[in-house]
Amino acid sequence: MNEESERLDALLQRNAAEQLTEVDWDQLNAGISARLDEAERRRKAPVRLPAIFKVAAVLIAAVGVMLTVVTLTTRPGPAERRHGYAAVKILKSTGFASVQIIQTGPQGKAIVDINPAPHLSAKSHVRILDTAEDAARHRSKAAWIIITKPSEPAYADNGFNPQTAAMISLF
Amino acid sequence: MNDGPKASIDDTVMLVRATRAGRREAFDRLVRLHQRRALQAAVAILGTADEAADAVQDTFVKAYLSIGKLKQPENFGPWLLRIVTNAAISRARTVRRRKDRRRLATEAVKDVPAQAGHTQPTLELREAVQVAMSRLSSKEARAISLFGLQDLSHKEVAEIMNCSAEAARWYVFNARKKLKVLLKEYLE
Repeated sequence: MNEESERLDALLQRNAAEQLTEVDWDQLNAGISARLDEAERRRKAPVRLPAIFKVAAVLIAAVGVMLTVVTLTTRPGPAERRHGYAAVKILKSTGFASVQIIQTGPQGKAIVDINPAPHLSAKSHVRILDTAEDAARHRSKAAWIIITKPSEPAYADNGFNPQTAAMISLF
Repeated sequence: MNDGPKASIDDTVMLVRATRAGRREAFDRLVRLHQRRALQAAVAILGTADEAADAVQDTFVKAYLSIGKLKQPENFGPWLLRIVTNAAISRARTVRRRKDRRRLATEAVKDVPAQAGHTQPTLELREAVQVAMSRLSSKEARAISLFGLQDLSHKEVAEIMNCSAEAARWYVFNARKKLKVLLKEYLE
């Protein structure tokens, strides 16, 4: 390091040292402590969302409630199920095949799974009947006939309570 | 003058761990142990103790809030110096913009009124150093301020700056070269 560099370093050192002798360390400490208190208070304070987020949250909740109410009030009940309007969801197959009724009514839609064949889907007429005796009369009119038996709810669940669950039979 | 006790590595490690465990008083002790070196580095970059004190306050708040990210507690000292030099450089830019706006660059230094206990040459030197440091690049300013902390080795400075020792020397060389021109009248 040459002489000029040494003089420069000495000048910078002197300037810094002179200023450090004038520092009020207690005041500096107090300033830092106050800033830390403030930072800690902010960190612990609950996050405050802008008002627009609150309004959006209320609107979303209201829409959610409305959708729930509309869905529940338009869902078919047990009485309608017997007349061909109920949705039927199969939880357990009869051992060799299972059927899932997508849509009931005069132009019903069903998915039939015949193991070990791959899944097949087809449109078909679907009728929901109360007894097996009725099935004989409707065999020629529907490819799949479903007989409801409220007394045997363990085999299938139609989405309602177990007492109104239906057993599905394939013919 | 109460400039605080000297910091040992063991004390620092213990206090960093206690701070992480939620003990605020432990960080207050860390402040007292490290504030002198932090202020020294900030003064070297900013040229004045008043501005440096603000940078040091920012530094300790930032360190407190992010102490959980410090991987090795024994590196608290170098980590703090990195934060304080960054804070000082950032503040130096702000000061420079402020001075430019007020047209108080080198030519106006002569108009600084003398304060109690300070001679006009002392104030002029402070202002001149402040202006000269603001003309350096951030790496040059950081390198020469850290070299000014005389107990730091080239390797330690390089680690703080996240560069090689050769690069750190190069930044110091360039900083000196510029400062010799900018502070020429005070070196004669």
